[in-house]
Amino acid sequence: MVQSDRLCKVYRVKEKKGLFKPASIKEVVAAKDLSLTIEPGHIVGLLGVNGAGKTTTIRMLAGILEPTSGTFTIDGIDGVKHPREIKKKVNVITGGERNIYWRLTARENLEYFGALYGVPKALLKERIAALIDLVGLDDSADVPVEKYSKGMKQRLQIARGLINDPQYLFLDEPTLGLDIAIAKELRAYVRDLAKEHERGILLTTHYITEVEELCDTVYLINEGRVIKTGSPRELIQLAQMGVGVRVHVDALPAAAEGSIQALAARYDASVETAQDEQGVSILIHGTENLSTHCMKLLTDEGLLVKKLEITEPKMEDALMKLTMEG
Amino acid sequence: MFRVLLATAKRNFIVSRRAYPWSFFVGRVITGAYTVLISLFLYAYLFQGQTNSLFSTYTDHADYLAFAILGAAFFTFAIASIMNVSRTLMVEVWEGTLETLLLSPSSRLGYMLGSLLEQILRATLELAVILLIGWVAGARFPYLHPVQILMVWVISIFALFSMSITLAALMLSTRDTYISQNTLFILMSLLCGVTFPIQYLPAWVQPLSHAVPFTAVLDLFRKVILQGHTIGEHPGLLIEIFALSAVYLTVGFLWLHRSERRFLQKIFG
Repeated sequence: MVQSDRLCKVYRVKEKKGLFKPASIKEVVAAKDLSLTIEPGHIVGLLGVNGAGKTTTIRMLAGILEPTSGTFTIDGIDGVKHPREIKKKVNVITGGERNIYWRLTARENLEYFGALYGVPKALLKERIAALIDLVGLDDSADVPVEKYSKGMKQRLQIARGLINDPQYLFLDEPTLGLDIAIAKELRAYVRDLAKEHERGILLTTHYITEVEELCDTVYLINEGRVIKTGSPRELIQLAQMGVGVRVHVDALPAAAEGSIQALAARYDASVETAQDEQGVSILIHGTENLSTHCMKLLTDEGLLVKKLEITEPKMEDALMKLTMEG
Repeated sequence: MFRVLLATAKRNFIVSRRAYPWSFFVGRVITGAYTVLISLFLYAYLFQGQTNSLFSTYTDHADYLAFAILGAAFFTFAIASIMNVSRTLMVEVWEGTLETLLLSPSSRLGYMLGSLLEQILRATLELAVILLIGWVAGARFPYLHPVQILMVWVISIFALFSMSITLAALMLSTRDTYISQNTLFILMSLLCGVTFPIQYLPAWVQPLSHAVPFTAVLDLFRKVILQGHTIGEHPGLLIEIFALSAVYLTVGFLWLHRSERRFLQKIFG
């Protein structure tokens, strides 16, 4: 299990005032009191706007950036004191085209990284074949990477990140630049890694559908702090985004309107009615989905419902709202 | 560590072969060849084939042409070895691969030695070609004892590696390669007795010459090839080489570790 306890990272950035003036030091807080847990078999989302501290957190947990304060352990190993030990258990996949050797072929890249991780030679050969197949680079495995397209480079990045069969995989915008089919395959593979192979996954992404599809738990961070934690569903509820139910009827008698108002009052919801050429539109907006109640009530009043629309809250909007609330 | 060493050497070999199939090698051989020719012209046309008695005293009656050509060839070997090993981490920065390298639990010593191994093989080939050009130009190397030469070669690799690590730390801490390496190489060419004995330098400068392990290595190399000495006859030079190299290596690795941490703060911050 990955457990961080009050991790902080403060960068000291020099700000030059002029050619002959001494530079001033500015402190930038990239992470503050970050405590999070990644259990084997779980996919944890780390979300936030650009500059929120997601990548810094991943770099600290991967052992390449020393925290300013705080600690973290990976399967009981202190990551601050023994970064080399924890590096054997983790790997990082980042979006983009860097982090691979362009003059080498995909196979040569994987052979090199496999050697850096000390993967036994026989096993490495098998694993390289499987990973090349997984990322769909079979036909270009022996072509130098500099001749690859952006998507192919990104696919090789994924293979590189899996070369040591990590216990914990940190994915930093992993599907950036990938075509839909490969992105979908990667998501399926990530889910399989977590659920079938008990790997712990930390995911940062700007694609909210990935969060909804994959994450068991989400840490929402802003300005280096965790501001909310929960499952995607819990975060939506926390944001109190509510559900909108809109029904269309030919006409709305006063008695029926009264019943609707009473229903809304009982569930702390709001009601808006509007008359148009086709009849009356009723919008009930509350924390719960009142469509069943509403339909029953209108049917009991003898009214024919011509159209029913339910507006579910969007994860994206919920995250935006929670971030703004801080 | 050996796995990382061999893998890094292989990787660098492939990259060099694909990036600069011949140009890098030819470029450095040409530089060495020019140095040989300059030495030849100076000796033949400026000095009229004469050197004064001081030169004979300082070099134990060595032939100037052979002295200068050995210096030029070995200096080219040193530059090639030091430059590529010391720049290797900066090259990772330029290529955008430093982060993935640091992510792995690989041995840094193995990685640096891997860069050295690939470089040494090429630099040795360059050394041999330049010595051949020197021989064609008229320089004579009277004592070519393979075992003694091999031992000096191995000792020189240790000394040059120690200098590379210190230079790598300097490059990483200043984020510069060009000024750092060229300043060092110019100082080496002036201070280490490449084309003239260090005794010609002012007395106050000579201790600086002995602060660079390359000076003693080059001296030992010449003593073996020009005088036919064995390395065992020069315990003072051996102590100087090993002591200085140990200091460079220790300081270099400590500094490198510190520079790496600071560098990461700078590029990620």
